Amino acid sequence: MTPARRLGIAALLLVIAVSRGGCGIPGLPVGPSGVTAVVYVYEKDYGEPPAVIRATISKIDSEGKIRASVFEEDTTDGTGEVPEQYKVPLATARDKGFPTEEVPAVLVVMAGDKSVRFMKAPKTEQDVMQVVQ
Amino acid sequence: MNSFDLIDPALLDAPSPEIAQSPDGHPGYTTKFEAEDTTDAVRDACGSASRSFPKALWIEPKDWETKARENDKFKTWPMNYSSRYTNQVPTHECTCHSLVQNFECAWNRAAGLSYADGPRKNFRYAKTRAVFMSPMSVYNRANPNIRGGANVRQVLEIAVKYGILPDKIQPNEYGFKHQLQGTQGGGNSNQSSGEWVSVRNMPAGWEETAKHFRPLEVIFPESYEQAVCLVLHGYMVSVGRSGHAIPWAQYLPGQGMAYPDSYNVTRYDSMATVRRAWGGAFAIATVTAPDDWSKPAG
Repeated sequence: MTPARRLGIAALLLVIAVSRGGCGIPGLPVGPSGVTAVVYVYEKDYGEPPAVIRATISKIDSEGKIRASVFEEDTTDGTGEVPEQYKVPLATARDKGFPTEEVPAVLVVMAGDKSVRFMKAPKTEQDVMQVVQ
Repeated sequence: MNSFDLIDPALLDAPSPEIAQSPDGHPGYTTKFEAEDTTDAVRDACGSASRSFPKALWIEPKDWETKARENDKFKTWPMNYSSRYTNQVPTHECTCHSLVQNFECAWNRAAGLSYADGPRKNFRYAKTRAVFMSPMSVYNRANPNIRGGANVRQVLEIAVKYGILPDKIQPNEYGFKHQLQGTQGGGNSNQSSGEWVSVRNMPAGWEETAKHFRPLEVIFPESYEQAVCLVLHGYMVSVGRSGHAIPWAQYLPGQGMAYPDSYNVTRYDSMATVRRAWGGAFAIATVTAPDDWSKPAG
């Protein structure tokens, strides 16, 4: 296979990934060791997180390496503000078109205080792990 | 905890334990309270926190079994977001124990915490980051007279307005500035028991801690079908019926609802009871969240 053909196939795969689930990879992906948190941002008026997603979030969190949680858009802290840990994930989600029927939820992957990857409305465990790892 | 297992008949539609175990033979959730707790009244008590049932949460009854199987597979019942029992015997604190179970479910659901077997007697899940809340911290304002119980409207209003204090027993050291015994009743290894504390004698500045533990959005089902849908989506649904208040936490197709009773045990309501008792029911949809889950009160 020529280098040009390899490049073409890679580009095609990237287009498929983006068109399938709105999977964004801004900049270089951070390796698993850099991932600190994953947040599923959703609006319940557009539906609950799928059970498999909730289960995957709980599974990731229980392993103790990455803090995983779900954030409903209307949640605040005790002072009425968006909790500090969710400000960037919420902003990232809104930047990707959340919340609408087309984008009812966004999974945001964090490395420290920066969002490094996201996926619109993941449906399966594989969707989540693809973005987290 | 499979939702298709047969219910032990001895635990189905059990008579109110409060009547049997209360020294004065009276329930904590009287028929007067039940009559007062209409959906409209409870909704009004929540003010801006009140939410109607979102259409996106509707599941056709023909699909309830399928959803139940999914919850069994993924452990996503409300029961799976409950890490402990509470024990009120022989007090009349039931509405507050039900409220606290509902709150803790919403908290754990948001924090990504789940418990494969739900609450278990004399057991604490290892490495849990759950926060145990104090029913007494709500009940003491709802009923300063101690005996006689409280209605759902009162306790929801208090929780939404003031918040709930953490119990003195916690699975981790969270550095809380204010805590309160969970119950004047029996308690257990996951719930502290102690003397009555009136609102006036609460720890100074308690409001500063309680405000971090408040329901933000409360959904009020307008039919028993909507109540079932909420449970299928992982929301606990608190109801008052038959002299006692409890939180529905797992739908058992063709049989009824399972709930973690505030007597260290799981019991069950039949579908006939579910159809009769849903009025005035509520599900806490969202609660305050901290800046850091390891520091729940900041």
